[in-house]
Amino acid sequence: MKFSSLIVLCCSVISLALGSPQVVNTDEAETVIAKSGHTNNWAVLVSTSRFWFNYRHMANVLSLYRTVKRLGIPDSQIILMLSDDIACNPRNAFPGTVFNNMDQAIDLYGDLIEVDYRGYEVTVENFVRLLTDRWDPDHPRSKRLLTDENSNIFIYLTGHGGNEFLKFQDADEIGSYDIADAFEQMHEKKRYNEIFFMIDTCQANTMYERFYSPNILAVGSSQIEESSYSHHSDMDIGVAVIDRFTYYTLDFLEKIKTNSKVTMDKLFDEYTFENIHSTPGIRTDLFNREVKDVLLTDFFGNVQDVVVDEVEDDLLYISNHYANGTQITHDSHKTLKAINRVAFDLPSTEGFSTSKQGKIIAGVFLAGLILLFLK
Amino acid sequence: MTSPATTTDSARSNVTFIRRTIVAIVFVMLVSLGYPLVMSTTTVYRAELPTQEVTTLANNFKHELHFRIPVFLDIPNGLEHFISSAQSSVDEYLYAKHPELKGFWGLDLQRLQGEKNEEEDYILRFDIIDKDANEDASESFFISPFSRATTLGLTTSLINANKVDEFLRIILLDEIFGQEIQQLSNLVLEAPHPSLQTDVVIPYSPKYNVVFTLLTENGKTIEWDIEKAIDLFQPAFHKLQHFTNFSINTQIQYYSKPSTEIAFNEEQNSYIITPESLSTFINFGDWNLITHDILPTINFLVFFPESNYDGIKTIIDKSSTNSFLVPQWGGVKILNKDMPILKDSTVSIHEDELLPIMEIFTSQLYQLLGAPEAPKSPNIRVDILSRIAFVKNIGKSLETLKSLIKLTESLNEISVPETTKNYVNLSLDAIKKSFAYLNNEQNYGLAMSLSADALKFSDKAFFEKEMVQQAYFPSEHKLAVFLPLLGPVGSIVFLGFLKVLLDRRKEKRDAVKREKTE
Repeated sequence: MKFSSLIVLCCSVISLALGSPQVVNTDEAETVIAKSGHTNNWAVLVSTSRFWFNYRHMANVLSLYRTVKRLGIPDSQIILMLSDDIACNPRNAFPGTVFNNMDQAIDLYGDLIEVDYRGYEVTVENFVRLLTDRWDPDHPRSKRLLTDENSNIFIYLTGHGGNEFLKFQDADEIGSYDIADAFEQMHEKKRYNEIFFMIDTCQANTMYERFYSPNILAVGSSQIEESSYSHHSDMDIGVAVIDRFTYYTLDFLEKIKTNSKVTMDKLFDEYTFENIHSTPGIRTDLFNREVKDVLLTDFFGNVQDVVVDEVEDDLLYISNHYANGTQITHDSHKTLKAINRVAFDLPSTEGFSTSKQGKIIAGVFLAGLILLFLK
Repeated sequence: MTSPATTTDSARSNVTFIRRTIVAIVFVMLVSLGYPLVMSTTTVYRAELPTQEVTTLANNFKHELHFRIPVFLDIPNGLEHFISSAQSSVDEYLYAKHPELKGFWGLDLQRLQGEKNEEEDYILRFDIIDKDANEDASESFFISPFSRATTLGLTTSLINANKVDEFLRIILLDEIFGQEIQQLSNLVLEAPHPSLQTDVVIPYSPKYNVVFTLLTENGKTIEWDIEKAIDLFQPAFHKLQHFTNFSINTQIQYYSKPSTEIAFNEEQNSYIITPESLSTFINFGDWNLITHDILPTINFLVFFPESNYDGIKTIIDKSSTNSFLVPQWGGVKILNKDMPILKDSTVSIHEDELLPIMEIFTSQLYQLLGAPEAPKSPNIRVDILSRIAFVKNIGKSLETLKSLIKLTESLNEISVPETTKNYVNLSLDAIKKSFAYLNNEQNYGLAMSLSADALKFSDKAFFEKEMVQQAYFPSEHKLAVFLPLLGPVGSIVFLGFLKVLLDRRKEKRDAVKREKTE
């Protein structure tokens, strides 16, 4: 708390003194805003680790959850995936809390948090399904990424990674090709306007190198053969509480307000080897705009423009009345001509597809063969 | 001495023979059973999609659509020739201005004969204004807001100057169908749409969930006559039935504070919500607005501020209706009670108070659905909306199918199940049927609902659950998976094969040796 308020204080002093290098004037801001062309913001925040020693990964992702929520993205547009086994872990000396700093100023778990995928639901399959929106028809809307061509998506991943893969809860792993292909499918279906991909793992930069779809801005915490380091430990909690890369990201974002005009390059300036102790990577070749023109709130916030006073009169009245002034009553409209619909023979989604059937037959055959040989 | 040697020899040769046969059988079995088994269990099933059909349809569909909207003119006997001249005047003017619409969209002027219902058909009536009776009279027109009928007031001077068809053309092309022509022309030319307009519009769905929510800032009991108010809404929803359907829910939420505090203005003695704070007015975090519904939701909020209890108004700056619209989301109205609230009495919001609010919500609903702003008649608006949505839906579903085919071609590992293929075919089927209903019958309602089906099927084809390419395996991972499986079997077969080979070689060597010794 002290530390961050000190930074805010320093910054405001500096900005007063130097006429604030981070502030652009209104005209500039308007041109900047006009360029993005998005109308809604979404965030996908994933912590892929389990167990107490990975406390920091949960703290990472909850910190960013708190930030995007503070900056105005509604919970219905945040998809949070985490193992959620830290706050109520028997080893937690402060039950029901998660902190990202040893000063324990902000309880990340205290405010209302809405976890969409919890525990063993955090799998590669669910993550890929989430991105490509391939679910059962009755999958709830609140757990789906219902983006369109006007959506800006912020995707944050943290966990244990390696060269071109990211481990999901010791059970499976996602490869860089999988994410790249998923993004391509999103691009084909026009499911995003721009994506900001951020990853904080070991060898993180290898994860975004396979991307080939347009309008993706990517940053990673460490290059190939490099580890991503934690920032500091809390002696009372007994484990590291946050990673360096995320710490400096948050440290910067804490200063951002909902209507801020600060641009992305200022955030990237924070990513130095001195701060992070590994080589951060930034990939801009797929991205159409200059990084210095991109507002942070293009991805972290949700500035919704509203329309005031374009209301038209009497529409309900004329919908409710016949030309001679008599009212259409609730029952009489039912007698109006109803439209016919054309029916289709729907294919049953249940039952086996041919490929599945073939595989089952083959499996039974194989099992029979094995039994035969055992005798 | 020789006999035991021969028996061991023959026994040995018998053993070698059996061994060789076993090796041969295992080999044959491996090749003829094992290989197909491995192949059939590891290959990804990819159904054949009608690539050719989709591509041709996607590239040419605009040439296959023919809108001929019938307009019935109520003209007296003996003036039938007027129709053909009016028709050519309309066509000439329209296609000179919008050559891209030729063959795609047009009006079909006909004479009104027999019983036509002005609720269903476009009817034009003429009214001749007697200039002698009224000196200041001029040409006039009246598009009925209740139906699809239009009345043209003609002066004798206009008729004498032979300008009736010009007048008719202006009314038809500018006043009645003006917005439709503009939007369709943009669609055909694939012009970038004016962004602000479309940003308000909620993405199309064949059914929406409409939620009316009353929010109060405290826990005091409040009632509203929402059921009766919704009954008023029903005819408006019914008029939209060709376009989409609605399911309606209502709720009252207590203790709902806006995310930013509303400042009190002493000059106006009221709480003022500034336009800047409107964008963060809705408290997405605290207000229980997520419906967990499968359908997309249109929200209509009535916010009942606590200041009502003190008799102080809460006003949205620069809004005469005290309401605002959140693009692609819904509408909000801040409700101020006209009468002071008696202490300890239950607040109830009467139907009469809800009526103007419902009026605002109707207007916002039309904006959210993307209805044109003119003419006033909801019937004509919904017609135009349906025709434009029809073209958009067809375009969108074909685009989805095209993307699907492109994806399956570029991603070799992804499986294409039979259900995907079925949905692609269903979508194509719906598209073709909708074309037939449009071109043969000019039945816009059915064409529209079919296009919605096509859109639904194409989305289902694209978002088929089984089409998840989940695991890219680098080749060393594949080796790691298959080695423990195939290794034991493979090594035994390999060693057995090696043994047979070595035996054979040894036998040959022995035979040579024996020859030499003999």
